[in-house]
Amino acid sequence: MLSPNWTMLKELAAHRLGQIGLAIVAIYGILAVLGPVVFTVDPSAVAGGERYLGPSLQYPFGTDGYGRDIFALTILGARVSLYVAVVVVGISTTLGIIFGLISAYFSDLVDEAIMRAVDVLLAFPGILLALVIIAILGPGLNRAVLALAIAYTPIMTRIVRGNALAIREEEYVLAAKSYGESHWRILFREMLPNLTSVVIVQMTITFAFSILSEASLSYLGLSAQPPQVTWGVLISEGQSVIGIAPWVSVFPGLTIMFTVLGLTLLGVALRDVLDPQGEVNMTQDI
Amino acid sequence: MGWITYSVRRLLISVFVLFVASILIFSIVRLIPGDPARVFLGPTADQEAVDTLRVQLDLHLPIYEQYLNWIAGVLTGNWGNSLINDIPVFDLVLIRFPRSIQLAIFSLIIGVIISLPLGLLAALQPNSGRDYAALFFSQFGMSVPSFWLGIILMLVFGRYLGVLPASGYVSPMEDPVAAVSHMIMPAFALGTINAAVLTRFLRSEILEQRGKEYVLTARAFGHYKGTILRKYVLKNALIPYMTNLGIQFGWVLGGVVIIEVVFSYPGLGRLVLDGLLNRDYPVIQMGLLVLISTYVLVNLVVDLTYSVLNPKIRY
Amino acid sequence: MSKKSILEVRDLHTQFETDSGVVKAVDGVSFSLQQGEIYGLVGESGAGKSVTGRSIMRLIDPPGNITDGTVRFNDENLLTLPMAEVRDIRGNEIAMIFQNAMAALNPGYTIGTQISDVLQRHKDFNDKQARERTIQLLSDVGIPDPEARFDSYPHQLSGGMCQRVVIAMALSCDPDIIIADEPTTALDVTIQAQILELLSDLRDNYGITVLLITHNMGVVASTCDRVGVMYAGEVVEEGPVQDIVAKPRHPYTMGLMQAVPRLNDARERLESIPGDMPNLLKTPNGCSFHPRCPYDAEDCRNVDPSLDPLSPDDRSTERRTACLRTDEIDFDREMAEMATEADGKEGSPKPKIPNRGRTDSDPLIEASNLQKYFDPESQSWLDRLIGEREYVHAVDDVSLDIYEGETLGLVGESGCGKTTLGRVLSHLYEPDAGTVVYAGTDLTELDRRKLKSMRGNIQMIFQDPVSSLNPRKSVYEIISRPLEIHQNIADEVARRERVEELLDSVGLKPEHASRKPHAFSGGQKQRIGIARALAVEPDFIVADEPVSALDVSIQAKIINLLMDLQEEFNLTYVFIAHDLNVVQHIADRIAVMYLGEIIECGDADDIFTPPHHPYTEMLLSSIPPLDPSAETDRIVPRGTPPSPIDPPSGCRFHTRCPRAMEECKSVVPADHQFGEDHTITCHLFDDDRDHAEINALIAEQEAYGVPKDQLVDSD
Repeated sequence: MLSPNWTMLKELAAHRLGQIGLAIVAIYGILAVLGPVVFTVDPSAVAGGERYLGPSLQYPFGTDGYGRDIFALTILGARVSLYVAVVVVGISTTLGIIFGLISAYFSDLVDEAIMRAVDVLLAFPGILLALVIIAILGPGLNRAVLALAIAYTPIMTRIVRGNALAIREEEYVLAAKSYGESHWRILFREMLPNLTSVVIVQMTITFAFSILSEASLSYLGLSAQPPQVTWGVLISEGQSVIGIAPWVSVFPGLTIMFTVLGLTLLGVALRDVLDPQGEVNMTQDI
Repeated sequence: MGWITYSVRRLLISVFVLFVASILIFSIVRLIPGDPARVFLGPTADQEAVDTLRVQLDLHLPIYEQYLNWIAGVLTGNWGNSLINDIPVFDLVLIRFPRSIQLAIFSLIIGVIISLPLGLLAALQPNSGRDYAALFFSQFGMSVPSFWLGIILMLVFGRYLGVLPASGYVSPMEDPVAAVSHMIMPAFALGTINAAVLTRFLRSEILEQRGKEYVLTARAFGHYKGTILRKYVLKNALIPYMTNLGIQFGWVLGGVVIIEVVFSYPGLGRLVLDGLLNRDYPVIQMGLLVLISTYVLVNLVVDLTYSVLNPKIRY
Repeated sequence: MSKKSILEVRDLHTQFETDSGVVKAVDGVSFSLQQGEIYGLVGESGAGKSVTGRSIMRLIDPPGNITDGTVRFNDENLLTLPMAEVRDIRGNEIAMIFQNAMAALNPGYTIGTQISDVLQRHKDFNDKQARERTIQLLSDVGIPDPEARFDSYPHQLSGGMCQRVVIAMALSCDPDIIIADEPTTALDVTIQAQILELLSDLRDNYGITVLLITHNMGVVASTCDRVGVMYAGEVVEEGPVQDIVAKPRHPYTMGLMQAVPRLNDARERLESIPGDMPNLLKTPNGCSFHPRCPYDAEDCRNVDPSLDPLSPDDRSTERRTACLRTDEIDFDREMAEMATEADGKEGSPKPKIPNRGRTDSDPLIEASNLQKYFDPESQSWLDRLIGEREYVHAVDDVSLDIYEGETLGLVGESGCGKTTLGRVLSHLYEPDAGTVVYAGTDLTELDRRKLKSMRGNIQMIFQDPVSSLNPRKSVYEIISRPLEIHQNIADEVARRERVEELLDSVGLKPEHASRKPHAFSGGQKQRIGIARALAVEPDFIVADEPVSALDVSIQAKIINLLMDLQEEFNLTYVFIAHDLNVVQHIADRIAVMYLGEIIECGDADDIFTPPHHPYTEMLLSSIPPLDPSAETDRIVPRGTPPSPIDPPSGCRFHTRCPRAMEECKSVVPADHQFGEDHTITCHLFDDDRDHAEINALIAEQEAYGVPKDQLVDSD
């Protein structure tokens, strides 16, 4: 298990897009985890700084209407986005693997039930499924996260099932059945290890797009509520003063763009390395 | 199994999906923790008003009757009144739905206009400079948040350059030129991601076709490069591209909710969002149901068209 | 035969630049095609034969590159001609057809359009002329109802029909040469016979020169005039087909000929070539065959032999070989030894080889009235609810006894249900109806726990060496897992010991245990799969096409291994294969399947010599004979197997049967005991038919059936 993974890491490090992606993701990760410790800002307090200051050495992203350092706020937003993405990816991947594997392995009724449920959920295009769930739960960061997790689960389910269906026909799965391996072990010891490539690639992509989607939801006022700071909230605040202080919106937006770019580049590179025949399914900005 | 059977089956699946989706949407009101009428009117409202609203929302009936009443209302155009201003929801949706469809189609057209040449140019010379440029655009297009792109466009073309109106809506019946100029920016903000996704998709489809054995055979029989590109590569690559357009239409329908807010565009998406913020449940339900039905219908049409275009489809 | 050379390949070099180095796929190949001949380019996978074919057509794409050589055609060097002129030649003067005909046709256009397009590309035809000519071509290549077929899409035709369409396309512009790259490999043996017949007809009727690229020695022997044998990117021997087959002058050719199982050398050990094909990244110095050559000498390791004519006193000067020690090796004696071993006493009746299984005792496995249906892939749950439900009749009322220690061969065309039957017998699939009784225990009645312990007795060996091993696990993990389940060897050390023991018994080394499957060659992977099956010490093994994915020289080794293991561990095999030669070589008894039913079953000798059931007869006569001089009145098989979703009424074979009678269309034939332990399901053997009539029939079959000394290649 160790040696091929080591080669894959090396291949990834040699992949040009992978290098860019890795670099961006690394900066994002470090800033999101450690940044708020270094660049402290209290989002609920009115800072002593001057309002609507343009970008400068002291305030690289400028200040907002409360005189807060937008750079520090953006980093705070990065931490929230990291939280959102980790939870959404964690839930949707776990559920997607379970449903997808079960659906592929036990065909007929179970498969039918799961796949029709997936069909119905995917019939809600884009962000609409998240809106339905928020309509029930009400707005809020954690509710938005839950809504996104539910919305991304059918996508992961479908991808896992599609690949698992092919693996189910592999002769080593038949061999395992023929020497009496249990269903459980066939699913998780024989099939799942051969799905890791697809799942890892999909996780990266879900990571990227859940950040994007949460930003949309909080821009619409359906996710985190002020004074909690997210990238979407910052952009929304900045839109009203776009004429006098464009930096309030511009910088958080650029940050989202580069973060998502880094993650999707990493996804493409991972696909190249792990699953050369596959194609990254990019149509999931919900 | 023939085409008719396939079509009937495909239709039944769409009806099934819509049926389950309608139950889900119907349940929105019923799944809210507590009494929906009370939630809407607030804790200070008097009991009489709450009771009136309960009757208005059918909440006093058994759940299946509530659904049957509701779905009967949906099918007969009796969609209830907005809880905010008491205007019939049907009228609200009827005015706003065509505007959103206009915007959606316009964005999709922008997506096609950009992706078709870009994907083609990229795929004809993979790993060339223009291929990298196309991929670069595609990657950025997928990463940029549409609402932020809208704001930036508004800032640049509306405020700084002043060439396009920053927001609002003009009906094409009244003034076609003004209508288009009002739609360009929102459609572009919405269509960028489609253009990016479709470019990438078309590129990889063409590359896949170029690797097919029948392309090798066509070369072995001396066909001209142009013939091979037209009859072998493009024809077979454009069919899945068209199918993908159907999926993209769905993303656009989801995206209108956001973009209409950015540009204060009075469409169905904004109606749904305002409903969400005001807990105006009849508006939320019917807005979502109309958007989803449109998507299901478009995909049905796309799939049926696909089965005609592609003789190889397994019914 | 005219000696006019029409195409001359000289010193062709084609390389592929990969990340791990330069692959010399074609490394100095020279040969020429003479007007109106069928020239066979034969070799195992990786020999470079397909790349040679494509290089002639300049169909090499990056990272591939033709680095040296000339291809002379009509006084022009195709390799230096401007691309535009090459395109004018392609399809017009030289046409090429490929292995997978279905994939070679554009799914988006009708076959008629595609042929017309080629015509209009090269000839000045208007639409109407092109259509007429296309219909004529379709009819020439034996496509029934060509007018209607003009508007068919490729997916509406079977693989064999598609190959005919591609051949029609190749014929369309009256080319001088057709390059056929493995044109029959993807097809069933009955369809293969039809396509080969067609290719021979084309040569006879139109004088077209054919370059036939194949790995199948039987195809070469039955179809070609001259042969070039390729190994590791080089032609190692060339000559008239009968000389190559009977009097090889290169150790590799000889090894190939000896490795091929033939119909009448039942259960002899096969000769095999040691080692594997060399890695083309670093071909050995000197003669590239020397590491595997039994006559390897000092010189062979240093000097790369050139392809030189044999001494003039040899029967033909057309013979060329690339071996330094041609004169020293007594090829004829080696071949003669093999021949005597194989033929036994010529003329006298072949001694009946006793069945190794104890047919007199109770059978180990009694399968009765097995039935297994599947839902067609295209049928969803909705169809099942609303529409008329259809089934794939994979196994239909099959009864079968298998005796301890024997090998039962299961043969039939693809889609006949032999794999499904194998999986029902090993209880991988639960039968829909019927019972499988294993040593007195009815498997269909066992509960989960008992069934699990029963699985220790029954194992499977699979077809695809790549797919049968989990790529994420080490060989140790793969083999030790069944041990853990069934042998309860909790002790890690003991388990490791047992794994090494198993590896040893299949001819692998202990250090192989820690590696992952991708580090092994196809043959080695198959050995690992066999070791896994042996791990639980089973009594009964179902081997599903265990050698069909392997090259001939590797195939022989695996067959030998399976036979040795059977002897050592007293195993009972069901051996499933589409290749009659292989089955006949290893099996004691044979069951022939057609569309889900067993139509004939009996001792191997009784089944084939002579064939009784018309279907068995058809299968047998489809096999291309390895002896080119064998003039057989071969029955060219008719048609393709009907769909198992809606099998024909009466006798399922009646739609293709050359002896079909009126009653066959409506009356289901009964099983007839014929001789000792030989069952035939056919109306020809109905009791009310008079015995003399049957004997006459058999005599007739014997008379024009298969020649006794037929040597046949495996696929």
